[in-house]
Amino acid sequence: MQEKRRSNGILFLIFLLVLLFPGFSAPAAERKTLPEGKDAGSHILIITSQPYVTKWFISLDHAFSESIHKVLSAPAKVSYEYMDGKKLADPRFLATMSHELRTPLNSIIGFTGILLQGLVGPLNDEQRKQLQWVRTSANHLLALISDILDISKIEAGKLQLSRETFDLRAAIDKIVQTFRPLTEKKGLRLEAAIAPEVGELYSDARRVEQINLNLLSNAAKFTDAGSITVSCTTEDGKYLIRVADTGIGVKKDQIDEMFKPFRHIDTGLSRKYEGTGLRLSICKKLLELLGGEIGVESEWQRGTIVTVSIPVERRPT
Amino acid sequence: MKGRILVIEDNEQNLYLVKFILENNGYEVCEARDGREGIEMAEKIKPDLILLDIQLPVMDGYAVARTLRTKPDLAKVPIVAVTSYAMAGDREKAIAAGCNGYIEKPINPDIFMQQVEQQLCLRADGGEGK
Repeated sequence: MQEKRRSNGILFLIFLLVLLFPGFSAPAAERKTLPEGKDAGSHILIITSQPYVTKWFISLDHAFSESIHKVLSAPAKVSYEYMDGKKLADPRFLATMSHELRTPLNSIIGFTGILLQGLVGPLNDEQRKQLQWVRTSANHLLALISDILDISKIEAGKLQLSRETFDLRAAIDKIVQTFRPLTEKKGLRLEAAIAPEVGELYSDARRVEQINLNLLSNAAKFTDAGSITVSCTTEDGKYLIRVADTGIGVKKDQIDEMFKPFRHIDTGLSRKYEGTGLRLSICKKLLELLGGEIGVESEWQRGTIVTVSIPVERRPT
Repeated sequence: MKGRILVIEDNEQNLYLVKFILENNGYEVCEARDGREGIEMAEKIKPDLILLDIQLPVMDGYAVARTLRTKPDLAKVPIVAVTSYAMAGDREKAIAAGCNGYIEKPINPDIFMQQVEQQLCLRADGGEGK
């Protein structure tokens, strides 16, 4: 059991190591069982987008295989493959990655869910608490995977947007309702002020929802007391969505840093608030694609206001 | 028994999960592990709804949906794609292949039945679904 956990941990570590290495667009470390059967051990395939990283792994080969062997307590075949950025950004590769990463999560989230629903039998309080943690972490992991895939697609210029007419007011209301349980739990006031003229928007509904979701989840994450206010108004053919919180805020000179992927501003903070810092950079890039903008005003320890503008772009008739 | 649902899914755990939820909610579940078996099974049992994985051995889900839509006696059976191919355009591809609905994996057990029953209701109302 211990060893299995360790081996999973190591594999995940390898995955992260490869994934987080600078200059990677969408790398992967994949574990495969050799066709001869379980006894044949594991096959670890390391795919990198940088030839020098591949070379580095190859130079470590013997020591690396040995340590993998030890952790897995079984022979492991390690192979390396270099893929250039183009191939990594191939939509088929991204689709496969997305599928491969989500399949095990389907089991984790699904079975945790049915256990928590009590479909299998009654749970005691401790079991419930622990399973809720599993569920929260699995959902967190799912969100991270989606974020990493999104940023990869955007950076590779492979993100396809769709356009449709939808009700922005309803979309904002829906997101606000989604966050109500969380903000109530934290004792925060959550208010929505949507101007009467806010109505239809011709844009990518899913991506606009993602932007709103990211802004609200950041506000909820970094606010421990006070309130979060979401407002929406129109101005010069644009909708302005503003999310204001009374959270920890950001120092002036660090505002630009907030939009860079994988940068958490303060190391002290990143310890308290874990995450990759991808959400704002995804928002910024999505808004560039949607013809909008994002801006941040903030006062350290007082709060943050994030303002997003999206062109109304009424569908041509 | 509320109805009969055919689940076409090759992943053992995913199949178990979906079957478990459906059976606990009073549905009869039939299963198929690949595309061709799915089509044969659909013709044999005439299910009330089909849950269709997209990445399948032998014949993928899109091809299964297209084939099922050519069969007059199955034309009205709602097909819901259940897939982790959550890339842009996947939903549209599934709908274009003849699916009526699309559920993204990982499924959320809290709302899964609602998503499935919505499709069953559309059928009962004689609606075409979306």
